[in-house]
Parts: sequence; structure tokens; C-alpha cells
Amino acid sequence: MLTQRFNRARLLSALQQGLVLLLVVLVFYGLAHNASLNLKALNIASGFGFLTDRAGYDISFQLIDYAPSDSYGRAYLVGLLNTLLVSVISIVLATLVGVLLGVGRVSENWLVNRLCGMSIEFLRNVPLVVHLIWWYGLMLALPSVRQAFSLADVFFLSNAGLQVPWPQQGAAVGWGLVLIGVGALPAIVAFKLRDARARWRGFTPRRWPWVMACALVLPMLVYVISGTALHWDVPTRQGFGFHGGATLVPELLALWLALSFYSASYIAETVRAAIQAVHRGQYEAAKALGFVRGTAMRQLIAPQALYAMVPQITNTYMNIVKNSSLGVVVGFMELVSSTGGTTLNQTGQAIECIVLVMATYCVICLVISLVMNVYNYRISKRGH
Amino acid sequence: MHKVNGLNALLKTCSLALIMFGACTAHAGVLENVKSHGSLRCGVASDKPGFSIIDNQGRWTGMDADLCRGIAAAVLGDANKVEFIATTGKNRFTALASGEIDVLSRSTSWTADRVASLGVDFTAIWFYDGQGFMTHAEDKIGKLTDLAGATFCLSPGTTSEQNLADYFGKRGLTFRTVVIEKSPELFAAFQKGRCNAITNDMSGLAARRALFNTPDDYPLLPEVISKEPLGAYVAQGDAVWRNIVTWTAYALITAEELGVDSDNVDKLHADKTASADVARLLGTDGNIGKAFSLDSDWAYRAIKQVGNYAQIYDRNLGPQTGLNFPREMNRLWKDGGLLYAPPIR
Repeated sequence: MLTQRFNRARLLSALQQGLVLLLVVLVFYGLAHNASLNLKALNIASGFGFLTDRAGYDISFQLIDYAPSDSYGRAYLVGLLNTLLVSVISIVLATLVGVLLGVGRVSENWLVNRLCGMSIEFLRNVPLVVHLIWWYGLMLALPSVRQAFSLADVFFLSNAGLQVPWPQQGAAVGWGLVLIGVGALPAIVAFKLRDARARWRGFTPRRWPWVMACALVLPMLVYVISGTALHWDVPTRQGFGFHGGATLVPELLALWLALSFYSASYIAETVRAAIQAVHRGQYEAAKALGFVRGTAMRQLIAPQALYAMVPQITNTYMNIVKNSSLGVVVGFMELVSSTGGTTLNQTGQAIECIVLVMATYCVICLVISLVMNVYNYRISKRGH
Repeated sequence: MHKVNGLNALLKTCSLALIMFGACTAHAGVLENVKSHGSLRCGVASDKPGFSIIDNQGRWTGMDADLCRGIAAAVLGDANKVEFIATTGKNRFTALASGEIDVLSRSTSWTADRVASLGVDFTAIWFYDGQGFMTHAEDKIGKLTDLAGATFCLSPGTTSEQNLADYFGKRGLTFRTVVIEKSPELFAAFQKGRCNAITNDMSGLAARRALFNTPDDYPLLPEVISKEPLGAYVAQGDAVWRNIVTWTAYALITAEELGVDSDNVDKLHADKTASADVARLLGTDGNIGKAFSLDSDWAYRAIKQVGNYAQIYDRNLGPQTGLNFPREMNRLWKDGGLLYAPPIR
């Protein structure tokens, strides 16, 4: 019966929650309404109509086509993609370096242990802005375009950034997908096959060599055999800079390295703490069963430690995304410098631009949090 | 406290953060605020030599700083009653609209869009400027179009980003930019060769260049690609205050035109036989000061304490300053320049 299912307590609770929600919505509506009235009274333009206006400013690094004649909306998109790019590559590098440092920190080798410890302390006790200014200073101290370091006349490193060959326009995405497919599909199959075989034969599976072989060697073979199908656009010196290829601007490189190494120190400490949080009995049991230290770490300790480190690492990842806004210091045009900077200045619509930037960061961080929570839930279910 | 024009008066001095919450306190006009506060809160740039910068004695100097001193002398009777507040290209209009500063004297260009949509009013043109370019001597750049495909250093939130895009876009030329907010870092990036050229208002470039160890290595291009009439802004909706700021600037320009300076102003002020123009300016004839809600000695005090336009210019940009910025457009109209103050009568 309806009355039974929605008994009094549940009905009351639902009513309360509904009321609170309504109140919150009303407060936010009131704030927005009040702001728009006040802006009108102050004779300041309001609303998001400006997003379709012509931006009229250049963005030095862009993942999608963008010209000053494009709209503020497009400039926002370029800034957003730049934020995402620098966040993703920083998360990858920070995780790699962080895990290495963290594992090194609990190493029984005295030298490795101390070296990692010192690196961590140094990296995390220096403010991020100082890291950033230091890396950017280093980039600017590189030789000028004319005296650029070159590797086989294909890669160039100068204070205008790193020039790399890039697949020719149009072909790039298609070929990228084909190569990833050629590598990934057999890799997944190999993974599953090795797993099944191992379970059947009853030994610990050694899957990674096979998976790596499929994921890396196969695409390379296909690429070499197909030969000329993919044309590389190789950078050449021309005029003030380089023509062709892709440019990793020094602003991006500086931000990437600064964010990665700074955040790596936090990840390292998280990894160390998580490893040390696994009960000593586990190490002793592994030793008693005759596991060598490396295997014990991989097979027994790491899976348990992983559970403890995910929430902390989620925090670090979100901090990386938010700290990428420091790109404004070295002039990397991410979200805060494009929409929260130049767009805000040119249109003067501070509230709209700041709200847009805030909402965007909020969404990115919520997505990271969601993904990591799902991951954490899955690993916490595994093997129990 | 008047309650005329209720909502408007209430909102005029609202902080921008408070705009959302509507918790604004009612205020009288800016003039009453300045008087009751006892000092003028003047928004300036923190690091523009010749316009507003702290000298080695810890004192704000420059054209923009002196304009505020002139206003303080006219309104409060003492040119030193100025509280200088450093603003950035990004927060300057917010600071003004929210009432954090009384006047924005920060080499800010007068554009239609700003007065139409930012809730601010322009007062008087204090300095005629235009966007110029500085290059590296070793690149041997003769004219701007030689810079096709080059990288430009520029600061964000200024009209220069748009001007550059317009100029190159119109000619179908490509360019790249590096946008850095702080001036010292921006100029350092240029000097280290990150950019082939740096673009800014001519005055800003010349002022920074004067500080370089080897200025000759960084020639300025002859081209000027935009009109940048610089001057003070006030918050919109207070005509009394706007008039005071506007006409203080004009009074200092008129003083130069009439040959009144800080040395002879006392004599002219006491001189009953001074010309009618001078008498009106110094308040010994007519009642313009009172009509501006000030007293009749407003302009006399400003000229006495900060000097006329020529004195201010020489003190801050003249040959003995090391900047040695030629007056050119900023000469009086009768000397072939653009400075043309409306008649004070």
C-alpha cells in the first residue's frame, strides 16, 4: 500500500529535503536576480550574450583552429582545452614521478631512500609559483631560434619552445586512431588470454611483456610496413621561427614541468604513507612464504596500499587542475588567462566570466572525483 | 545623507562582490566621501615610470600620480592627501565601479565601449598616446610589416591585443603572442628573446626602455597603430565629481596656456590687474569654483601645489628625468599639439 511504503518518517524527511532544496534554489535565484538588477542600475552590461561576439585577441597555443576573428565562446573553448591538456599531461607525469619517488622513499637501499627523501622535501617545500618562475626562466635561457639545439634537424629546442614533427593535417587523427586500434585490440585480447591461461594452469600470470608487445610493437610494424602512407610535417627554420611541425611553447613546457614535479612530491608522500599503512604482518607473512621483496611489493602490498592512496591522490589530481590556473603567471593561455583574463577585460563582464570559470573548474573537479570514486569502489570490491 | 535618487545613490558605491548580495550601505556623493574621509583614493599603475611609480624615496611620482595630487589640492586643500592604490589592468574598472577608489588615473584609454558598458565615465584627456613597437636591433626590423610571422610580447587586458590583431588581420599577416601580466616579467621575456617585438602604448615602451642597460639594442619602430587618449576615469552617475576631476585637469592645462605656474601663481592671485582669463582661473573673478561645489581657490591651490601641465610634464617626462619623452602630440594646441582645454569661464 502507498501509505505503508511512504510512511510518516520518510514522507517528513522527503518534505524537509525538498524544502531545503527549494530554499537553496531560491537563494541562488535571488542572488542572480539581485546581481542583474544591480548591474542594470550601475549601467553595466550583463548576460552571456558576449560569448558570440568577436574576440579579437590571439591565443598563442591552441588545440583547435582559432583566429582573432572567432568568438569569445570559441576562445573559451580553446582556453578550456588548454587547461585540460596541461592538467592531463601533468597528472600523467606527476603520477609516474610521484610513484617512483614514493616507492624509492621506502626502499631498503640507503642511498635511494635518502635521495628520494631529499627530492621530495625539496620539491614540496618550494611554492608552486617559484617552481613555475624557475622553469620558465630556464626555458627563456635556452638559445634563440637561430642557435636552436637541433636533433637530426627534426627536433629543435630554443627559447621559442620545442619543435616536433607532426603528422600532416587531416591524416593525423585518422592514423592515430588506426594505430591505437592496431595496438590496443590485440593487447586486450592478449591480456585476457594470458589471464585465462594462468588461471587454468594455476601460476601467477606474467602479462605485461605480451601486452606491451601488442600495444607498441604491432603499431610500429604496421607503420613501417605501410611506409609512406603517413607524411610527417617536419619543422624547418623560416623567418622568425619555424615552419611546419608542432610547437610546444615554453609557457606550456614550464607549466607542465612545474606542476608535475611539485605535485609528484605530494603523490610520493601519499604512496609512501599508503605502503607504510599496510600492516607489518603482511610483510612478515610474505617473507615467511618465501616471496622476494619485489614480488611481495607488487603482488601483496601494492594492491592493499592502492586502496588507501586513491582518495589522497584524487585530491592531488584536483589540485593539479586548479593549480594549472597559475599559467597566467607565465602567460600560458588557459581558462583563467583567456576567459578570466582577456575576455573579462575586453567585455568588462566580470561576474559572467568569473562564474563561467568557476563553474568550469567545479565541473572538471567533480568529474575527476566521480571517476576516482568509481575506481576506488571497484578496487575495494576486488579480492575481498 | 541625501535620499535623493534613492536606489541609484545606494548602488553607486556598492562593492562588486556586494552587488550579488545587495548589502550596500547608502552613501552621499563621492565629493562628500572624499571630504569626510580626508583623503583622495587614487587608483594608479604600480610600475609605469614617468606616470606612476614609487621613487627611491618611497614617494609616488609621475603624470598620473600628479593629476591625483592636483585633484586633492583642489578638493581637500592639500596635494599630499592622496592615498595611492596600485591597480592592475584587470581589476582597475572593478575597483572604480565598486567605490574602492575615487578616481582611476592609470594611463587608461578612452573608448566608447568602456563608458558604454563598464559603468564608468571618462573625464579629460591627460596624455595623447598610441600603440608602438620595440624590437631587437639584431633583427634589423625597419617597419611593422617586416614582423609578419613574428612573436609579440604584450600585457593582457589592454586595447593592444585587439589593435595588434586588427592591424595584422587586415593585412592578412600572421603573428603569435605571449601574454604576461606583470610588466617586469613581460619586458624580461622580450629582452631574453622570447618575442621578436613588444607592443604597448608608446609612453610605456619609452619609459621601460629608458631603464634598460643598453637601450640602443632595442629600437622603437616609427609606426603608431592606434589612438590612445589616456586620462582619468570616475564611476558613472555622479556629475559633480566628474566635473571636478575633468576641470581640475583642464585647469592645469589652461594654466600652462595662460603662463600661470607654481612660481608666479601667488603674485597673479594677489594681482587685481591680472587678465580676465587668469582671474577667472584663479577664482579672483567669477564663481566657477563654487558652482563645482568647491571654493573659489580650487585651481589656485592645484597650480600652486603641483604646478601647471608643462611643469608636471617636465618633472616626470622631461629631459632631466632620463626618460626624455618628446612632447609632440602633448604640446598645447597653439604650439601645434593636441592639448586643447575648453575655456574656463
